[in-house]
Amino acid sequence: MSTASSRARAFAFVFLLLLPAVATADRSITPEAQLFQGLRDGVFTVYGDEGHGSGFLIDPSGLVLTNQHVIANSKYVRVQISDELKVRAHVLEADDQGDIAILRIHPDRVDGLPVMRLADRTDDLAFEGERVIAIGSPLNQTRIVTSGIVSKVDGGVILSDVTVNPGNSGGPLINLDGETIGMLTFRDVDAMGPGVSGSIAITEAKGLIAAAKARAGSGTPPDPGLLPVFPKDGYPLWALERAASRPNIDETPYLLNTRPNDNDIFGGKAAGSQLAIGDYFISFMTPPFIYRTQKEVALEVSKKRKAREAKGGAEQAESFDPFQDLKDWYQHLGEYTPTVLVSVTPKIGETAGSVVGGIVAGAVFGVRAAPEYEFKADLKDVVLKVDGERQEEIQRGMSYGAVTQYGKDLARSGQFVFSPDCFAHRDGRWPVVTIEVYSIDKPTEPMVVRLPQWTLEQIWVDFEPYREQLRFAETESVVGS
Amino acid sequence: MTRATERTRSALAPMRALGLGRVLPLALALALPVFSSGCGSTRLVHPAFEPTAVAELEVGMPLSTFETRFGAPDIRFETKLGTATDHTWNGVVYKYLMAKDPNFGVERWITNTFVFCKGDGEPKLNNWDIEQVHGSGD
Repeated sequence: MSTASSRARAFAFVFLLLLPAVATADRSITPEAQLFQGLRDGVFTVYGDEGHGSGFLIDPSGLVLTNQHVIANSKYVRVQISDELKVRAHVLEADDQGDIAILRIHPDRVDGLPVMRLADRTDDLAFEGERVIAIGSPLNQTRIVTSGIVSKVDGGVILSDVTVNPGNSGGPLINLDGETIGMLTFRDVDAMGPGVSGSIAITEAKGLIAAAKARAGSGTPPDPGLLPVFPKDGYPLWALERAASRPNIDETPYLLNTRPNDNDIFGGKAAGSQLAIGDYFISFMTPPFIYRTQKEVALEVSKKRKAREAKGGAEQAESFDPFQDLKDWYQHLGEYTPTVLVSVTPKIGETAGSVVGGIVAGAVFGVRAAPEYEFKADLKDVVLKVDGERQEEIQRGMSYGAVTQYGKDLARSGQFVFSPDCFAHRDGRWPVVTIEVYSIDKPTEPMVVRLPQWTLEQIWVDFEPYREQLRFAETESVVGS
Repeated sequence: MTRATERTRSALAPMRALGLGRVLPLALALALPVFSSGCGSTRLVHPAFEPTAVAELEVGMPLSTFETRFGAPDIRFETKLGTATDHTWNGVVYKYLMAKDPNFGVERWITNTFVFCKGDGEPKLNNWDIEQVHGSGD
């Protein structure tokens, strides 16, 4: 072996040893990654009454640009700045047709955060093939980056192959110079696969931004107080599985109107069963209740299969596992968050005309025509109070439902996410928790229901595993691991 | 067929398989009330949880020793602990359902919980939370 050859081998050996360190030190950071790291803190999650989208800081005075459809039909608009910070927002300007809205939050809450630099040219705002990134809060994620190229610039719209999902709306489309050139707004929902998505050219918002800045100068900013946010951790998996596995769960504590003796519980006629039932179904759903409800069918239909498995001595690999969806990553999908979901849904009933018509037709002709149905109520708002104090929702979800067969009607229902702390035992007693349900046709006469103690107890019991998980997070190992 | 009949039949299916379908149901119908009133009220769940045994619990107790002393748990699961501290560790959690909590109108179980630290060797008892000890007046 020659000396030169030995040296070469020695060099190669040393080089191989150094390679991991060199690769780590010189790890390639793409322009997209650099941009994202510098700008992401200026992109927020915007909550309206019907869902959530994205928005971004365009002025240090607290102006946030988003899509109008993100905050459409919303009485309450909130902006989540980071994992822990969520604040109220005012709608300063909104253009329904252009789908642009400008919100205002308190400037103290955005102090030091990056303000997006908006491109102000119209001629060469973007060119086809140009690389771009988008930042937003799609699905159950917050501030995630996707990238692509500009596919087409068409008037006031930029089409790109950047992936857009529900929740991306209102997020910035940014070129590699760090300029915001558009606002992610739509995609073709009928198309299969990611396809192309559309962004409103940022120049389309120019007039509205100027008007908002003028208005912001004179008005008072919204309250900077913090609002509740979704917990970052998930509900313990073992407790979900146990909840679903147990037989004969009493569901009545979760559903306000199913106990036969409501009057006893609500303390008399003033808050009695009629008032409690009203024209709405009201339910309080916890993660174990939701999971159990979802698994009910799977567990029922798998009983015979389980019997066959037992009879044949099936191996584990051959056994049906109804809980195989319980993985550590499930919480990233936003499933079974440790929160209480309050659902308020108007009841459907036969119209008065249909009832009378049916009686008359039955008496005269001896036949009964098909009944006609309608909603018995139409939701305007829901307020939860604990010991008389209003509680803020983590998320509101108002939506429309329709009766299309045997009648035609449309009404609003709502799902409201609250922290379990709202229902928790405190100071050695159960709090007085009331829910006020406002209807569109009776905006000043809410139906007021006091939650029965067993509902509070059930929520408390359901969250015992979660409270334990929080304690476990703080528990140190004293025996070593 | 009524629902009640369906339930009765399915409950009796194993007995029929054993050829006891005719005699045993009648015998059981007579015996069950006696059994439930005579034994149900005094039978302890997890009787090993008595004051002396509980007083001997100590940090570092091996899982096998613990299980020999207290029996198998009703619930067992593994989880990560210390996630909010500098040192995350893996644990095995044993839960013993002692009794239904009379202070609640809904189903809540008084539970004794034990956390074992999983390391290279046998898991060792790290911490515990005892809600009920038999014979202690609880």
